[in-house]
Amino acid sequence: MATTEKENLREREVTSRVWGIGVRHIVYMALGAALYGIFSYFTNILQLPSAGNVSFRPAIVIPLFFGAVFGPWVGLFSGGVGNLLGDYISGYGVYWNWDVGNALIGFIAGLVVYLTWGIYRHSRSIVLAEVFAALGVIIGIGFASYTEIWLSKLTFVTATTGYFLPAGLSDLINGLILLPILLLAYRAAVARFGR
Amino acid sequence: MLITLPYVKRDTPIHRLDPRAKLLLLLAYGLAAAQTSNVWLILAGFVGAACYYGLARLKWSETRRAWLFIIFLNVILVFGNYFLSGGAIVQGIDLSHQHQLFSLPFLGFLNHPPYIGPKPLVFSVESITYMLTMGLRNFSIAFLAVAIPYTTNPGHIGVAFKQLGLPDQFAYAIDLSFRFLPTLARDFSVTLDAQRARGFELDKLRGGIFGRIARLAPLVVPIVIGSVVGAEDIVNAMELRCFGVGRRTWLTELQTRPVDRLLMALAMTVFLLVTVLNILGNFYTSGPLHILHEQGLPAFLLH
Amino acid sequence: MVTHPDNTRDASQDAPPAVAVKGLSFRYRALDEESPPAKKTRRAVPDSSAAGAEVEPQYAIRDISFSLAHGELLLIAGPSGCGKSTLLKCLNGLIPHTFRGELSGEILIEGRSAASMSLRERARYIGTMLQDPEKQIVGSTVEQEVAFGLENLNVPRAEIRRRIEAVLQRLHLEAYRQEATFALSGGQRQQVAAAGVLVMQPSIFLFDEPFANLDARAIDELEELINGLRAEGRAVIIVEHRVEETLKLRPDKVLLMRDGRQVFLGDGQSFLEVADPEQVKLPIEATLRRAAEPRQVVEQLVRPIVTRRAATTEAGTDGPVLVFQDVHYRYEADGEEILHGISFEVRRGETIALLGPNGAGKTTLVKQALGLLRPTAGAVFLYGEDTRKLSVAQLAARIGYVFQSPSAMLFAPTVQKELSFGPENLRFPPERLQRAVQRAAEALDVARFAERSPLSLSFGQQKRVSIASVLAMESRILLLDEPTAGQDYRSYISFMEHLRELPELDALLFITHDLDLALRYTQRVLLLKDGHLVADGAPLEVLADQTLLESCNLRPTSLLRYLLTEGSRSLA
Repeated sequence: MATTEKENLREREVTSRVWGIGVRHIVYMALGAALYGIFSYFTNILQLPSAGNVSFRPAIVIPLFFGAVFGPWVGLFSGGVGNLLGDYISGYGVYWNWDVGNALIGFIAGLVVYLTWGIYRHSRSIVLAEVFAALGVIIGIGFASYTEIWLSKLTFVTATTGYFLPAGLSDLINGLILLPILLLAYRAAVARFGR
Repeated sequence: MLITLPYVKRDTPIHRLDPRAKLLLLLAYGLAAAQTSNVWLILAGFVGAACYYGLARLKWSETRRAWLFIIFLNVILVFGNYFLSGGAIVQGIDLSHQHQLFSLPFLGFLNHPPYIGPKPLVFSVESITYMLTMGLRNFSIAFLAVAIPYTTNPGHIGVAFKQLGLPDQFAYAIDLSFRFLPTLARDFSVTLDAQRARGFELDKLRGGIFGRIARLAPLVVPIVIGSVVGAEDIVNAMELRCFGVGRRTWLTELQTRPVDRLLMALAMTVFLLVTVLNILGNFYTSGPLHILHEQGLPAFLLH
Repeated sequence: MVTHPDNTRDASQDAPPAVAVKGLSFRYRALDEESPPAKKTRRAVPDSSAAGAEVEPQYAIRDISFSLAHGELLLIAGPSGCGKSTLLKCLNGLIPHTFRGELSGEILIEGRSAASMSLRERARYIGTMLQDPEKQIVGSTVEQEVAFGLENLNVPRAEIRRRIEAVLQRLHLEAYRQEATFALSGGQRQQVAAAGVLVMQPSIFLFDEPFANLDARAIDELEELINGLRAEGRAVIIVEHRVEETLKLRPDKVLLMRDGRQVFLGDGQSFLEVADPEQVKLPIEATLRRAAEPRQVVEQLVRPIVTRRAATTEAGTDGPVLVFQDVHYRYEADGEEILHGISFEVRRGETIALLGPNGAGKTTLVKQALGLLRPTAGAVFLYGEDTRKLSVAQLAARIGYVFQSPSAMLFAPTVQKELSFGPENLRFPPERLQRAVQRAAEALDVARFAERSPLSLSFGQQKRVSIASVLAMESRILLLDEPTAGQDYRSYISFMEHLRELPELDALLFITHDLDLALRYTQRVLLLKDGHLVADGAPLEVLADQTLLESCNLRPTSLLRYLLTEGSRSLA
């Protein structure tokens, strides 16, 4: 009796760990979004934007990291609202398909919490986070790029070479290099607080 | 580095609009404009959007950086699209044949796998018009989009989403992220200074592209980890003041005025009308109900 | 100020105490109970035996008892790690609400058992001011911040407005209502944070180390606030290791903690007789009263650091190492001038305190020496070279600057790599790099954790790593920004004693607003106010000027007063 009860509890705990939202998640959502916005803003003003430039876009690691550690909802919010915020403070306006695309990135990267519980002590879990991050970037940037075919009447080739490849490649490279660095640093910082 | 939000406090009709009306207008217009390439309709939309933008009385000096970026990106994409499609692609328009003006050899780009390579770049009345229409569409959307950050009080965005039906907690997270912005901008510049004092030079990073990205760690790690660790205190502070225990009041309340409701109704009507016309246009091959599927060029241009 | 009548003391004579704590103990839940599901299932069966084998965690607090009436002030003192912040969490309900563990004993709030209260109910009685008001403030504007708690309690809008109005008036903050909270000064921020708590009308107020990082005026305002709260019949509890500041408020009770246990509970006077001056910072009189030979104690306390290099070479034989020549600075061409013509020289062997209130321009000034900011007029010379011709990286090789917060700079996977970062940027050849890193690590005693991540270290250790990683660049001048901020008295002293041993420095500069640090450890004080250098001389000379101190928003400490009266007595 006791064991099944315990297992039930554990199962519920897994679900709530992945999908549950407490005050702490709300704060991390806001923080992730603000960080993504700030980093995007600074890369926007520190360098000339150019289509086709595989550039520094370290910002992308934010929704990937917040997703991988705090779960899909935090990832979704960090990506979506963060992109909105970045465009907003740069004065570019609001472009909903890119917000949705970035939300997808964080959401998919956050699904890895199903397998890792947001704890990255072993290289296996870090590799898993990288795989989900890559998937997230491809799907999210794919969504945003290819909705442009319909929204601003680009051809498939233009959407690919003008948006998908430069943005996707740059995000993949930046994200996959920086994500493990941040996960390791976070692991060390958490060890300090014993949580 | 300090961060200055683009919001310019001013009293104009656009500043007074409910943020929800502005967002809805942008969304509805964008989705409507995507459904036609009729040059007259898009031109009308462009003029309307330009008037709307004009009402906001934003100065060039305030919006310069944003516009330079938008112009740059759109020129690249619109011309790029023309070259990449060989000037031949005109989407969503019923055309029997194009009226070719001239063509430039080898400048176009053929992509019908397995045939990929140069081909003549065709200039026809239709394709040039189509390119212009694309530009007009993008800029009309940009007018509506750029107006939002410059005319909307950031303190009204969270509550706007709340009143659009987003749960309290998420809507509050939007407010909170605006609260974090200046703090994080300061952390960013402190960390950048601290690392520069250790000989770190952002513009002289060594290594190939991979190495250089990895060398951003001294900047990214302290900011991200520092703020995540510090967030624990903020969680406590919020819990101690009863955040998340139930329904909450919002001190600020957005109230729609008749003009906001009118604008929202108008935006919705245009969107619905365009959508219905678009669907009907598939059944009628000519006449007013087919208007969205035509480029609408006058006959004299075609001779 | 509007208060619920039942929350104040004049309700009845034999009302229960505001807070009563009986035999309270707590230990945090054992670590490592959470691991990924994969691991969990693998050891599903032997789980229970493994758990039994785990070491039982220590009690964070053990058997604490006290009670506090309305209108009374309790000071909870003790070095960091003594359990005082855990006790605070037990009172405000974060334990057991957020932090899990084993809690025993009893807390009565207004006569009601706290165990049955939700966090929401507790918030009606207890308001908490966290250590860092910056973290406590969640609203972008003052009004939003003050409204926050009431919004969460779903109080109607009109009522919120009325109560905000009353609180802002009570704290004289009406003018700041629409102000951005980020732009406030440290003192204003504390007042606004207090307003956000006060608006919820708690009858008990908890302050977590409220005096950290405040200048004199802000401390005065805070004292006024606390006295006001007591006069209104609220009970106030202050957790603080700066006992000296808090004792000025004449607490009714003092609770001294060590290693989670309460070692003393009584009034302020008898506290001074039992407290250990090595553990908490006491007024100098209390320290001296308990010493057999007062003069010796003072000599022990006041010992300026002399840099080693100066001790070996003849001081004053060669030119100054750092020269500021009429330095002006403004952020933007049309902006306000921040520094108005500052000139001074630093000679070999000097230990200098750059003193001044918050916002005087101290940090802006030292940034000129590193090229992080460049003077708009005037010049800075480093070893005779004009800094305008040198890049930040080149200057960093000559002058080291350690920022206040170590977390702003620590990033590397190991301490070893952290220390190598600077020398690598400066392209040290491998041998020199290795030697420099090793020396720096030994000088600050961080070699022990060379292979650990700097992020996993304690605050004090991180602070030492951050200094070592600047020292590894072998610069001969070292600037330390608020070196003692965030450390308790004991670690502050051991840290400063450590600096005494630093090898091969030409000069050492502290940027600080801590008068005692200047008095005890430096030979010279530069006093900065509103972008002007208003005084330059030996610490006791400069700080003897009462009116000057007052105008600079600096508050004389008991040590300063003692040294001054001693000085005049010996003159007489």
